[in-house]
Amino acid sequence: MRLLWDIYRKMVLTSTLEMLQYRLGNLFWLLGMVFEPMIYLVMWSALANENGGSIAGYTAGNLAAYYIAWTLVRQWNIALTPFGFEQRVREGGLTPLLLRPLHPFHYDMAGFIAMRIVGTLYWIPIGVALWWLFSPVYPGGWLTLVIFALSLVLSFVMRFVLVYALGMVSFWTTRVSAIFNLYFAVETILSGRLVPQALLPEWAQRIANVLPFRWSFGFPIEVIIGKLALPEMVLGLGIQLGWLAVATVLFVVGWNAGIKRYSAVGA
Amino acid sequence: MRRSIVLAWQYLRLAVMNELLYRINFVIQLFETAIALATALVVLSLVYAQTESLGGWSRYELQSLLGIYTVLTAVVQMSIQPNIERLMTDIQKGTFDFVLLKPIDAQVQISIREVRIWQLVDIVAGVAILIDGLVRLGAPLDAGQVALFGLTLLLGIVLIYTMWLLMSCIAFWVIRVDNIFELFDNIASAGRLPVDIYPRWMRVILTYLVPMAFAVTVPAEVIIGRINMSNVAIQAAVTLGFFVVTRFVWTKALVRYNGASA
Repeated sequence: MRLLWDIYRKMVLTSTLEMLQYRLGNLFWLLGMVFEPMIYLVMWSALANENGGSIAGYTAGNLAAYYIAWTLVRQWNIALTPFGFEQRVREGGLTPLLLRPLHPFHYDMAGFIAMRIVGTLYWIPIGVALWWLFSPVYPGGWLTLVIFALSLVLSFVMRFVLVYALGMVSFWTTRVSAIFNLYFAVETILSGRLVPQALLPEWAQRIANVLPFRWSFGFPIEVIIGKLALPEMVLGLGIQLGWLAVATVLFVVGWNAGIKRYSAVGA
Repeated sequence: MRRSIVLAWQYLRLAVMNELLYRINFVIQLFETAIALATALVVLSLVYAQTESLGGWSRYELQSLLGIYTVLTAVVQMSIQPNIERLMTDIQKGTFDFVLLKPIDAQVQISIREVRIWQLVDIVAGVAILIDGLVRLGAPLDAGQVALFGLTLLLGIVLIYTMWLLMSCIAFWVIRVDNIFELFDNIASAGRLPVDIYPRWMRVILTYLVPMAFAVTVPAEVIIGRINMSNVAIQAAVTLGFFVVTRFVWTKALVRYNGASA
């Protein structure tokens, strides 16, 4: 355990320094990511205004807060896509990773933790600029902030493991882009990425509650913009932990069964 | 000119023959188009469940605009993007030499080498959404309007093409530019809404840096019958201007090229 911690620390440090070298590239990448939520923000704010100031309990200020928090959560949601994993299996890139002393998962995880650090650093000025441009309304409060931080970390870990587990499908078939795209399409609609959950029809909200997507995206945002009461926040953290456990089981089972089928194509 | 057309035709034939070997890709593309369309239409119905008009656009007007946006992005993905990507690889690896050695204009050549034919599915889908939107709007169309629409859409495609080429010219000076394309692509996704809905600073970006205002909103205005001739004239002028500038920058860029690793 101690060893693992030391290795993680070193790997995160190296990857962070590596990533910090590409300053302009990082900035462009982040700026690009900011544009998508601005489209939704403009759309829903226009609606709120035509609706007499608010829509499903969201005022323009709430919506601005939602989509600015969105930009941070979106960053923390980035994971090794199943497409990436599929490519490793198809082209044999997984083979050298298997020869290393640790499970490949740890190297990936460390790299993505580093990405979180760099991304958050770069996000700060962008967040400030968006704040100035759209004047969001946040309730503030230390407790909210602490719970938000917790839910943000959990959303990252939970989605990372879940999406990694999905990648295990590639051990059985490498024609999977259709499955993955369907997964991501459903995620886009039900996670709160396209639209705050409260704006969905009732039945869709019920579905969203029992699927993992909302808990890795919309939930942390709803925490920070003050849409949830304390018991709801605590329950949400619990559900995140629950999905993390489910994802871990899926991943371990999928990996153990799949790795036996892996035949190192092309390496 | 004739030679270029014959060459473009041959490249297309080759691409079609190659792709027909992988027919399952057609089914996959069909499935993915369906997902993308369903998502877009779900959003549309969510929005118009709450209101009658969004920034002065009714549901089926916006649907028509979405159809045009779909067609334009499909054209980009079918032809512009793969060609530019190949150009980028050529510049990075030095294989751009082979383009220069051939007895045909380099810009023409790099613009016609690749075609991803399955994107046709997206084009068909976009046209279907557009027609469905127009039928439901029920506004009468006359031939002149349709012709003007075709012209503005064509100009829009040319404009987007020149922007891509202009960006790729940067690669002759600094080798890595994929982030610029990604940024451009992300901003371009704002074209699925009419630009007059955005705040001023975003409108400026969407008009001059990533000209979706001209590429999507102007043709949409024409086809739903809000023809604004001065916008059309500006679109034509901007497209022509960018085309000339791009040609100029391209010739300058060719001089810069020195065969990276050859």
